[in-house]
Amino acid sequence: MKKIFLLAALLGALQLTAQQPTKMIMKLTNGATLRTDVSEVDKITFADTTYNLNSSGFRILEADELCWPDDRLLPCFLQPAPTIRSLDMNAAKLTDEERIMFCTLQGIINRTRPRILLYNHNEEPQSTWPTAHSIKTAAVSTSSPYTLVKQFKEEINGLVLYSNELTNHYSNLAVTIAGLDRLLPVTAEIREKLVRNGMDFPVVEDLTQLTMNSALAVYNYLYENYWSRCNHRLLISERPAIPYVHDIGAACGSACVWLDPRNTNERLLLDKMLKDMTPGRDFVLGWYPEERSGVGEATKYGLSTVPADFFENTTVYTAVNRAVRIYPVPKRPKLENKVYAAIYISDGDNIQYCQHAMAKIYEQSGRGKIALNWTISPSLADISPAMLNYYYRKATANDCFVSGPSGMGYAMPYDAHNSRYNASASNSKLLVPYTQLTQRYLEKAGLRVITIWDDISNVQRRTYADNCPYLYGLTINDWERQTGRLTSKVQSNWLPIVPMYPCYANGVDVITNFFNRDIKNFKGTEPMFVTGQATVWDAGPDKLVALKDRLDELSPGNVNIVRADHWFSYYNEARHLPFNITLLETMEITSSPTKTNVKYAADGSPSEGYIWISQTTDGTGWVQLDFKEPFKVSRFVVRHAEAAGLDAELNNRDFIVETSLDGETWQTVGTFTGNTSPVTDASITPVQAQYVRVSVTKGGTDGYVRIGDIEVYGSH
Amino acid sequence: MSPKDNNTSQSINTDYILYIMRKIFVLATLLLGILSTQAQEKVMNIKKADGTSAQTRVADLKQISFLAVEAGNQGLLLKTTGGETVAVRFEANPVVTVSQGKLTVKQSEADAMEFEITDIAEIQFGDASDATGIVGQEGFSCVMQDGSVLLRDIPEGTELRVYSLDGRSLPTPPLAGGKLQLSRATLGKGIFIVKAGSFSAKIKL
Repeated sequence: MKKIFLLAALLGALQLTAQQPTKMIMKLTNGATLRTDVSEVDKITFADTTYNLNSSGFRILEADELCWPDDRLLPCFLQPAPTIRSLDMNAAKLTDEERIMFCTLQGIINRTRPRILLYNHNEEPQSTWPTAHSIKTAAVSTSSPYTLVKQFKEEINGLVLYSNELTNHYSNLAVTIAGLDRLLPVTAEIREKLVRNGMDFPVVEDLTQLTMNSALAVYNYLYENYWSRCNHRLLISERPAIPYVHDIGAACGSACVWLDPRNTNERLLLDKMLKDMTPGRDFVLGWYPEERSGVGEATKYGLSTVPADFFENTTVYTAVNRAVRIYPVPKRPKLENKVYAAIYISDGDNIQYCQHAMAKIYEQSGRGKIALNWTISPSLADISPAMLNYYYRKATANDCFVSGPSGMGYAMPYDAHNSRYNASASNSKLLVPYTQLTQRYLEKAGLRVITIWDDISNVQRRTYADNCPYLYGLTINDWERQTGRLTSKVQSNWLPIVPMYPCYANGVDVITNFFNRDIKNFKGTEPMFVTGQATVWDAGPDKLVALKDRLDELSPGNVNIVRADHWFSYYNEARHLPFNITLLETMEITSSPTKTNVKYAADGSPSEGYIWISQTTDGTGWVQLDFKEPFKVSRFVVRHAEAAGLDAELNNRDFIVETSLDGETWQTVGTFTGNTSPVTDASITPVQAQYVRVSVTKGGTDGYVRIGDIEVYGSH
Repeated sequence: MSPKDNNTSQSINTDYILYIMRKIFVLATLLLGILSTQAQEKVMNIKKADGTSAQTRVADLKQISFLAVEAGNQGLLLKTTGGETVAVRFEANPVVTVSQGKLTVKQSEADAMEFEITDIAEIQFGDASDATGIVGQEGFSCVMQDGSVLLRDIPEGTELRVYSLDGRSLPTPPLAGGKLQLSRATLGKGIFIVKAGSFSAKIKL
């Protein structure tokens, strides 16, 4: 999202007339919105093209015909069919090779319109995600799974025949070719089954004739012969026998590889592919033979990885195009001289965990009893917004969501286990696209904290501070692999970066012992802050709830376990740094007549349903915040209608922001005319103020004034 | 892919012929399959100044709108296949709707022009600093204004016709210096069809 960043102006007042480029906004029938600056467009022309129709009259899309806006991680698919065919691959007892074929079939068919859903995991009830996405399914009999292929055979051009006798990497090569040419990847055995089921497809590519016998040789062949035809926006890195993300790979015409960066030649080949990808837009989906070398290799190119090896039905869930519903954030009490503890739950960067294990762990009865900070992947805002909504809707006031490492997709700027920077410590440019991408997805997903793995250099800290103004704070991992403890730092006088101590702890005892190293020194004369991370596999909410008593025993009545957004707010307040003072429970809001609820103006949610809307349609309205005590106000943020997913035409056009110490004498600190941006984010020369007022003189084109959310940053 | 290597030239020849025959069979099968289900449709190409282009199926397009505040001098130009230009200044925030083979340019609740997509050659963005239209455009052009449409630079001898939606021919106002003003004030509120030579458009006033 574009923002107007305002530099400090004389006397703290600011006069700005927006001179923004004319924007062309294209709305598509699949729900996508494409924005282009007119100044970038030479001309628009219309031309005839030919295409293939299926028997239902739908155009059969090829991999290179997808609508894939630059600001989306995945293409815009049509909404899923009203009823889609589902198959339980476990119950059908499909072999690995059969699953590879069915997942590829799913991608090729769903590319045109999602019509196939495949079940594999059973950790969550089968109905969980179809229901969350409002998808109605009609099951294919597990005794005759091949009827699913038969139903869609008209959209299949033929077969790519492979054998895993020499090496199982042929299946990844076959899947890549299959996606490009609408083929099914099959072994001879599966081909026979197809024939027995009345489907004698032609063999378009016969890989059984090839003699390569190593991963390197197979993927070199892929690179030489198919890489130029593959899209370079999404690279699938997937173990050959694991087929679950083949649907999205095949749908997009992506290359599918399994290269091990610990092997020099394989790394060099992987590097050639990563080099062709665009940081800040493209990403790797899947996993690697080894975590740190794989994630680290992509990081070297400014790219991130979305761990997803067992994530199922991507082509279905990404097609359910919904805005992420960010719920109001609970207000917090005043800062006291207490110990503030934040507990993070690991592994949310891994979207297959979000889809399966997390769905089960989230149901533990211990959840909601103490404040817990759940890591989750911001990429879900595109990959499955309804999945984020599912967790957000069920969250209690004690469930806070934060970004998994290290933003939009897993990147590892510094690898503490191997003591090496993957992204050069002194290169200020490499992480700029990644952090800009991260900012967009933090905002989309409503995530204010990132858990960095493992650490970042001073230059990289600045890159985060410069490009991610949505943040409240960052955590880093103290693996105790260095002499002494990692220290907390504050970047650019607003962004705190604090170590998890302990990080990735396997239980309550470890967390209690680590915290006690600090808490035993607590004197009650000033606030103290501790933070740690639990491995979700060892310590879910049912175990972590014991921390309430265990920590209380360390300093009775003095330990508050709080949400991460509150924790960073307290942290900054205690250090006289700016924090979002609209989080304070003492804040009072008044406004001109509203048809909604006055508190929606500054509730932490810009989402539809939580927007302040004027009662009148004359384009005017105001909102006033009273913080009940003076703060040194240095920044404000106003989120308009478009930030809630509404039309850009409804953004407030003309408005001013004023401050006051007494509610009677006002000082204008920002004047905005002709605004078209969804978010106005302005830093100003700090001014003492107890009141902040946003007065709109020209609202959206329908005459209503809409305020998604107001943030005010102040310090003592 | 290539046929498998063999030791003798005889088997290479045989393999190669079989390989070619199989390819021909596959291609013929694919071609027959494609031909039996092919259809035609329009796509819209956005060509950017940096040389890149993006294609969108017209069937996927719902609406194109323009957010232009204080944009000043830019305008939207629709060039028809007949060589005419329709100009809309950005201050009016035009909304272009593409639906069922028709392209509608609308700049207020009342004013709109509708074209067959087959009549549109290209859309450009040009200088509209001249209050009456687009600067530097040669030949006949059509400018949408509040409550009226101005056709200007109409070549002498061009046959002009204005019809109501039910097909009745309406009296055509006289040309003044190659200009024809069709306004709500003179024609009343409604939808009209304007034909000027090969140019044809539906105008809502």
